[in-house]
Amino acid sequence: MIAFLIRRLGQALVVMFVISLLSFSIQDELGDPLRELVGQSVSEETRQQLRDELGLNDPFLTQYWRFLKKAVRGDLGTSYFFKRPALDVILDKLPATIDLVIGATFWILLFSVPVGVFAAIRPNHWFSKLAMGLSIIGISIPVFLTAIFLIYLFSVELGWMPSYGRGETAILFGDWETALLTADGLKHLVLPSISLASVILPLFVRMIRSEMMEVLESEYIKFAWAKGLKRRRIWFLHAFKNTLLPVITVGGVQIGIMVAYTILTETVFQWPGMGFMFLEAINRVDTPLIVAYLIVVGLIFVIVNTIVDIIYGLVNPTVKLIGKK
Amino acid sequence: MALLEVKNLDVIFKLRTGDVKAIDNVSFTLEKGERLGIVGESGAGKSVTAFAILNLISKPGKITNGQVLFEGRDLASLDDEQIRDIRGNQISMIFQDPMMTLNPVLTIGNQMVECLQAHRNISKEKAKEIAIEKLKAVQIPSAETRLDQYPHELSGGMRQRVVIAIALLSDPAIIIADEPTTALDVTIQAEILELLLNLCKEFHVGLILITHDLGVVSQVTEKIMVMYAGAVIEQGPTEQIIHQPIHPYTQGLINALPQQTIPGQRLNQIKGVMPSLQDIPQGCAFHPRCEYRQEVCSQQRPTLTQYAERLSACHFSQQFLDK
Amino acid sequence: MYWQRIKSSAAYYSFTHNRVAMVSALVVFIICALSALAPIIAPYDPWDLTQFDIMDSEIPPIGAEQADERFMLGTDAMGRDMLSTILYGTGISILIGVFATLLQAFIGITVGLFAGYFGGRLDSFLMRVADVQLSFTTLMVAIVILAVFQATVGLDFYEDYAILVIVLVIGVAEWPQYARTVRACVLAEKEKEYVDAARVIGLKPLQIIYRHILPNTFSPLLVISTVQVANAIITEAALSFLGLGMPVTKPSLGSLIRNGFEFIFSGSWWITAFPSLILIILILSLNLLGDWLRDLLNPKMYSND
Repeated sequence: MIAFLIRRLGQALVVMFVISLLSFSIQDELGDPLRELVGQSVSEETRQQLRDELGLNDPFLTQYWRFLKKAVRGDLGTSYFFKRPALDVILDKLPATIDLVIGATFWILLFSVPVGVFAAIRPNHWFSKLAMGLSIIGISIPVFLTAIFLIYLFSVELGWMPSYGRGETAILFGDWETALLTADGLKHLVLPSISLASVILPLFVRMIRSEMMEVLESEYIKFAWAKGLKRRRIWFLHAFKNTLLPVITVGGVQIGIMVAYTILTETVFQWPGMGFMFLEAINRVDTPLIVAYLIVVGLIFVIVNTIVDIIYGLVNPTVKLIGKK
Repeated sequence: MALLEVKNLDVIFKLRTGDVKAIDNVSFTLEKGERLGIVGESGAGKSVTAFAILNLISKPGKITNGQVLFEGRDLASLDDEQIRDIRGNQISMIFQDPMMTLNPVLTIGNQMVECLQAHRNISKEKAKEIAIEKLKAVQIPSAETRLDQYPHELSGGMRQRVVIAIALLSDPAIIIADEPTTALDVTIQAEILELLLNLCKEFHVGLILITHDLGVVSQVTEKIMVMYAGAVIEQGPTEQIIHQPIHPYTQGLINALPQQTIPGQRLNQIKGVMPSLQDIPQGCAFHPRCEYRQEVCSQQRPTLTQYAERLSACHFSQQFLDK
Repeated sequence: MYWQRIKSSAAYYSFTHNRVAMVSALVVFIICALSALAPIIAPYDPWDLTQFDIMDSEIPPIGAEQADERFMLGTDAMGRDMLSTILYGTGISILIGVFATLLQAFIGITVGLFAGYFGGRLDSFLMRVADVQLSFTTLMVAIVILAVFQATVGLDFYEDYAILVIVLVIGVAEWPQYARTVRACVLAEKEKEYVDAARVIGLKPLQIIYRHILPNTFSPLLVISTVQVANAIITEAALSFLGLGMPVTKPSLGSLIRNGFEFIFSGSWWITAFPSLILIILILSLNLLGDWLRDLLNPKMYSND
C-alpha cells in the first residue's frame, strides 16, 4: 500500500512539474509585468535597470526556479485586476465551483446507476429504450445550450427559478462559504447543476449499461446462474461489482471533464466560481490569475486521479496495492 | 423410471438471418450414478444440450419442443424459482475454462457459501464448514485458508478443483461437466479427470461429460452419445462404440485418435469440416465428408435406428455391424 | 459491379432496414450539402459588411408580427440575415469538425501504430502521455491555448487565422482517442499469424504496419471518427460560445449562439434558437450514425456449441 502510494505520488509530482513549467511559460509569454508596475512613462534605461533588479533578464530556468520556490509556498503572484494574491482570489471562488460540482455529482449518482443497471438487465423494456434515446439526445446537446434552454424555460417563461447568481450562502467551518445549506442557495443551484450534469449523466448511463451488458455475457455470470443463485444476487453483486471497475476508471476522467465544463456553466449562469473568474481573467489578460487557476485546476486533477486509482485498487482484488501493479 | 430423461429436445436460435436449429430431436436417459459422455466437434450442439437441461439457454435460443424429465418433473416447464432450486442443488455444472468461471472480485469462500445459502437455510459458519469439507474432497491443500483467497491467487488446475468443489456442495444427483479439462495443461487434465471419476463413484453422482475427445470419455463413462450438426448420430455403451462403431463419423473420430496412428505417420483426420448449422446439407448431414457415401445419402436423411443395445443414424449401419 | 457488392453487403442490409440510420444519414447529407452550397443559395453574404443595414436589426422570422419577408429566419442584432449567416456558419462548423478530426486521426494513428507495434518503453511512455492529456480534457486544453494565443498575437491577427488555429488546437488535443483505439487493434493483430508470416518473409516493420496492420484497424476507426467529428463540432461551438473560437465577423454556429444569448431576455429568441437547433440536429444525427456503426461492426456473436 505504501509503495503504491509513493509510486502514485511520484507520478503526481511529475505531472505537477510539467503543469507548472507550462504555466510559467504562459506567464513568460503573456504581458509585461513592468507595464503593470510602472506604466508607460518611464525611460528605457530605468526599465532595463528595473528588469535587472526584478531578475527579468535572468535565464529562463533561473526565473522558473524562483517561480517554483514561491509557488510551493503558496505565492502564485498578485492579480493585476483584483490587486490581491492570485491564490486568495481563487480560494474565494473555489467554494462556489465545488458547490456546483457537488450538485452535478448528486444528479449523476442519483440517476446513472439505477438507470444504467436497469437498461442493462432489461434491454428491451420500453423504459430502457426511452433512457437510451434520451441519453443520446443529452450527449448531443452542448452544455451551454442546455443551460440557455433551462434559463429560458424556467426563468424567463415560467419564472420558477432564478436565472443567475448563487443566492444566499452559509458559512461552514469558520470560512468555507457554501450555498448547499440555505434554501435560496439550493434553489439557485438547481438549474446550473442540472446543466453541468446534462452531458456527463448520459455518458455514465450508457457506459454503465454497456459495461454491465458485457459482464452479463461473461462465463462467471453464466456459472452463477448455473449455481442457482437468486437473480438479485447475480445482478447486484456478481455483475455490478465487475461493472464498477471500468466505471471507476472512466469516472475519474469524467470528473476532470466536469471541471472544464464548469467554465461553460458558470459563464451562462454568471455563477461566481473559478470558471467564470478564469474567463474574465482571460479577457482582462490577468496573467497571474490565469497561471494560478491552471495550477490549482492541475492540482485538483492530480488529486482526483490519485484518489480514483486508490479506490480502484481497493475494489479490484487483482491489483496489488503492495509493490507493482 | 430413469433419473433424467431427455425426450425429443429441439432448440432453435432466432438470429437476424433466420432461425437456426441448434439441437434437433435429441433424446437420452441417465440412471442414478450413471456416467454419460456426449461427444462431437465444436458446434455440434453438445454444450447447448447441456445448457438446455437446466433451461440455461440464453437469449436468441429457445427450447421449442421436447421434455427434460428429472425425477419425473419436466424441467423445461418449471417457473424461474423452481428451476433455480434445481440448478446447483440437484444438478450442478462444471464449465470449460476455470480462468473465466469464477468471479474475479469475490473470494472463493464467498462464492461457495452463497451457493449453499441459495438452496438451504443455513448459517454462514455451517456453510463454511461444508465448503472446507468439499475443498478437502477435491484435494486442495490448506483448504481453510483458501476461503479468503481470490480466484487470481490460484492456478488453473486449482481453480478447476474449486469449481468441482462448488459443484459438489449440495450433494447433487447429477453433475454436467462441459469440457472440464480442455483449458488445462495436459499433465493436469488426467489428474482432474481421475478426481472427477473417483468423486462420482464415491458419492454415487450421475455424470454427463461433454467433450470433443473420444479418448477422454472412453476412460470415464459407461455410455456415449455422438452428436453431429445438432443431431444424435450414434448412441450406446462405451465398450461397443469404441470397439465397433457403426456410424462412419464415429469411426472417423476413433481413427483420428493419436493412439490409433502408427508413430511417424500423419493423424487420420476426417476430411472437411462440419457444416454450419445454417446450411446443413440435404440427406445425411455427414455425407459430403463420408467415404462410404452412396446416392441415397444425399437424398434421404437416415433415421436414428435401434441396433441391439445402441442407436445409429446411417443407412449402412447394419452392414458395419455385420462385418 | 461495385454497386452489386455494396448491395449484397451486411452493412447495406442493416442500413436499409434501420430507419434511424437512414434518416440520420439523410439529415447529415442535407446539412452538409446546404452549407457547401451556401455561396450560391444564401440570399445574402454575411461576411460582407456592405450587404446589411443596422436598421434591419432584430427583425423576427416569418410568421411573427413585424416580420420582413426579405429575411425568412429574421435578422440578428447587426441586421444580418439569419438564414444566410446560419448557412455559412454551419459550413464553418463542419469544416472545423472534419479537419480537426483528420488531424487527430493522423497524429493518433501514427502514435498508436508505433506504440502498439514496437511496444516496450516507447509504448508505456506514449500511453502515459495520452492518459495525462486525456485527463485534462480537450476543452480545457483548447481554452488555455486559445486564450494565450489570442492574448499574444492580438485579436485582429487572430481573426484572420482563427479557423486554422482552432483546427490545430482541437486536432492536437484529441489525438489520444485514436491512439488508444489503434494501439488496441495493433496489439490484437500483432498476435495473429499473418503478421509473423510477413515478418518471416522479410518485410520491414513499416511495410508490415502500413500494408498489413493498418487496414485491419479500419472499422473501429470509422466508428470513432463519426463521433469525433461530432465532438469536435461541439468543442468548437463551446469555444466560440466562450468567445475564444470563431469571431463574430465570420461566425460559426457557436459564435452565433453566443451572439444571440444576450438577446434572449429581451425576447429576440430566434437569434439563438435557429443556430442551436441546427447544431443539435447535426450532432444528434452524427451520434446516431456512430451508434448504428458501432452496433453494426461489433455484432454479438452467438456461438452454437
